Amino acid sequence: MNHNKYIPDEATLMAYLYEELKGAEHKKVEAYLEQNPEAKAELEGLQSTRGIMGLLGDQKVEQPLVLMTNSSEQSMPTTAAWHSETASSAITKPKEKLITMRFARTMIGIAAAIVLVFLMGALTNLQIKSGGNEGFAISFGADTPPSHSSQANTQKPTIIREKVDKDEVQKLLSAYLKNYGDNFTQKLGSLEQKMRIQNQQVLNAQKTKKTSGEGNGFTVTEVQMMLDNLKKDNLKTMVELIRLSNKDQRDYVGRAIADYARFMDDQRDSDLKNINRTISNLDNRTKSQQIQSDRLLARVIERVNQSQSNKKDDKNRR
Amino acid sequence: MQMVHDEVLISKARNGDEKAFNHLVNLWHNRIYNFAFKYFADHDMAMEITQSTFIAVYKNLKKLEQVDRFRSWLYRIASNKCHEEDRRNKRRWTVSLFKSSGKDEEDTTPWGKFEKDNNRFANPDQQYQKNELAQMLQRALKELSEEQRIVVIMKEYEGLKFREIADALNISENTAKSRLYYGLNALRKILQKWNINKETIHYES
Repeated sequence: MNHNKYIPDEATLMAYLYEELKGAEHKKVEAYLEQNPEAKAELEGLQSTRGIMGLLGDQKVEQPLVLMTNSSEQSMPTTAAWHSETASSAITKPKEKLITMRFARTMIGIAAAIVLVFLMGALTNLQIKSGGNEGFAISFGADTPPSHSSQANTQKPTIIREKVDKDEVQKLLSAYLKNYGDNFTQKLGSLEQKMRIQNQQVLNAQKTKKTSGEGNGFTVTEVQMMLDNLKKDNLKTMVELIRLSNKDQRDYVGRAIADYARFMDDQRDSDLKNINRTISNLDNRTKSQQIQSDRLLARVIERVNQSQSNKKDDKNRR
Repeated sequence: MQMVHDEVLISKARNGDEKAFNHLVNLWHNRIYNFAFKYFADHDMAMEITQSTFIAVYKNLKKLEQVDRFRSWLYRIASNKCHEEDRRNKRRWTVSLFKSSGKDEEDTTPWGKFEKDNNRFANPDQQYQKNELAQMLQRALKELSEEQRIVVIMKEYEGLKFREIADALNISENTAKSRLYYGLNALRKILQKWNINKETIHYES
């Protein structure tokens, strides 16, 4: 019998439990456990604990961090200029910054989209027309139509006419809408001009940045500020335009309706007057006819009376 | 297979290849996060640990001598960050959220939030839902001492070898194994006390 009773220590048991024991060692512990049910039970208890603890899974974690240093490349062309500027700028020290990819992507995407929209609008000569016979139209590349601000005011409807003309009314309404549309186009034209000027400014700024040497050009913050100001101005102009166009639209439609109502009232008045006149004419005529027939009747009665009285006289003389 | 791929990647990253480094971060980010999360049971802490770990990796990768020891080196940085955070917390005298108002250990129960289920553990037919169970297991981990907890996490959840754990924690393999032994035993007692066993766990079919 083996007097050196082999008792594995805790460390060995752990190595056995986690299957990190080599062949011979492993068999030794196995044999020991077979002969010592208490130890075996204990180890099985630990194994079951492992099983339960293993039910604790992993947490889902958001997108991994992206390490951004000064020399890392950018995929967006609009931001490329700024980041190469960062590399040479004296302001930023070579400091690593961990930012989330998703956040960076979103901000760069938004900035690029805004700049692109404005550029596209200005460069392609976008026109938006409404009113007139064409209805609502968006076109590229056409020249701005000459403003019609000098056009004479819309025709006033003529009051008191013989009859209501459907075509006249339609012409009236379309004239109003055309006037409104022209104003709208005029305002849009001025807005486009402003945008073009601003975009030119941005382009000039970028050119000067590229041509000037290091340390002479705009820093990242300055360019960002400029772009922010441009964006703010553009937004203000657009909001103002929309507000004005809404107001104009309401005004024009209101006035058109008011004028039309007045026109209809006037028509009604003249019709009533006509009818009055006709009735009074008829009245007069009837009256005069009545008088005539009365006179005739009176003469007839006179004649009859006369002849009767003559006949009486003749009878009396015989 | 993974190791070989890692070694090539690590070499590249070590030589300054940033794409390789970012790829390396992608590979290990999830593991380090979950390692820290199980240690602190707190998302913000885990994120902080993860961030500072990878910043340290970036700064010190050139000092890594043996590329095949990357894993234990990485976990060494991570566990050091965890220890630093612990020391900072101790100095602040923060109380663990999972130990109730200073009563003795016997009375601590993990179901502070589940007040409606106060009599649960009295009912032998109770069933724990998966989320509840995960929370309780996490709390069980938190009951362990820091030494034992970190070894348990490294072995049970991160699958490190004893040699790697010893490297990472700067202890002997025997010490690592015995800490694991005592840690597992402590967990067994806790699970017993909280009546968490195969019968009371609702296994999803």
